[in-house]
Amino acid sequence: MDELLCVQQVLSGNTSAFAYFVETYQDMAMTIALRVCENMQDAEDIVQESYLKAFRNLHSFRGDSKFSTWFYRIVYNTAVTHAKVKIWTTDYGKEAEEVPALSDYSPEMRLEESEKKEMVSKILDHMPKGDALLLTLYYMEDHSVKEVAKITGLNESNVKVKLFRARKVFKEMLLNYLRLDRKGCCEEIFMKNGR
Amino acid sequence: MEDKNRINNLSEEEQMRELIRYGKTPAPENLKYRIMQQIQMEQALKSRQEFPTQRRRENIWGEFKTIFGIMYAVLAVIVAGTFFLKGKEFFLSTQFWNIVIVVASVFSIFWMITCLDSHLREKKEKKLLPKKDKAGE
Repeated sequence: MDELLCVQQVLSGNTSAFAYFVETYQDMAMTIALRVCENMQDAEDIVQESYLKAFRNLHSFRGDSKFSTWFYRIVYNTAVTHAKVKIWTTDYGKEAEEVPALSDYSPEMRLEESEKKEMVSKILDHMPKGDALLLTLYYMEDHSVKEVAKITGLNESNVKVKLFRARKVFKEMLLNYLRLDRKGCCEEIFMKNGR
Repeated sequence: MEDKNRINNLSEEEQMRELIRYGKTPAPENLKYRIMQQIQMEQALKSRQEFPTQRRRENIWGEFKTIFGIMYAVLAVIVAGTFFLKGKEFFLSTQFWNIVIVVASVFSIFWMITCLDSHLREKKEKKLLPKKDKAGE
């Protein structure tokens, strides 16, 4: 569906056309909000507020960027304002050691879908907020570095550096998770990682 | 060698992408309806605030036509009555023009009062509307 056309329809008074945007982007919006505020109820409120803001300011969407980029920036800003937290920490502690490639662990990665889901959610929950958010934005909907930079307000080189570190941290935590017993030792792994 | 590295990196990226996608949190079922309901409510409130101004403009124009329409009808009756009772010469007298001026003034004043009344009513409605909204929150 042509999103610009949909925007035009909403602006000309067809409010129900906005349902398309709610339907399409609510999951990702929810994920972004949850990464920032870490609370399901707050995340729901943030998503609702963000959609209202988007609706009120739809006339200011000029179509220079994708609707998703424009909207996720609103979600990100609303979440940061709501959570009143500092997302971007510059202190990474000691530099992460060289981490083996994911393909080296493919036998251990043969997990059930639900197990994978649980594992990834746990790891992302325990990662620094900014890192988890960057990975989510970059990989989940194939946003480019430029788009991630637009959403977060960081500059592109900063995004690249942070993304590189976030990938490393994620792999480190993932490999620790897979190396150790997967059941019930998650906390131990994350404590070992110093997070 | 470089090509091999690039291929490895690519598959690494794909693996990461696949893994991270497991971390997507689906929005609750009712969230969409809640959002749409709130948006439609806001839209309805907005049009409720815009509608009275438009209606007021239509009202003033309608009243203008009615009042001055009646005024011209009354003047036409007076002119016809005068013509049949007192003849053509009476139209040139001051007495006749005094009657015309009085009738026109009465209707004009009546129209002015009507405009003032609707203006005051609108002002009162504007004052009341935000209070109603606050109470509804």
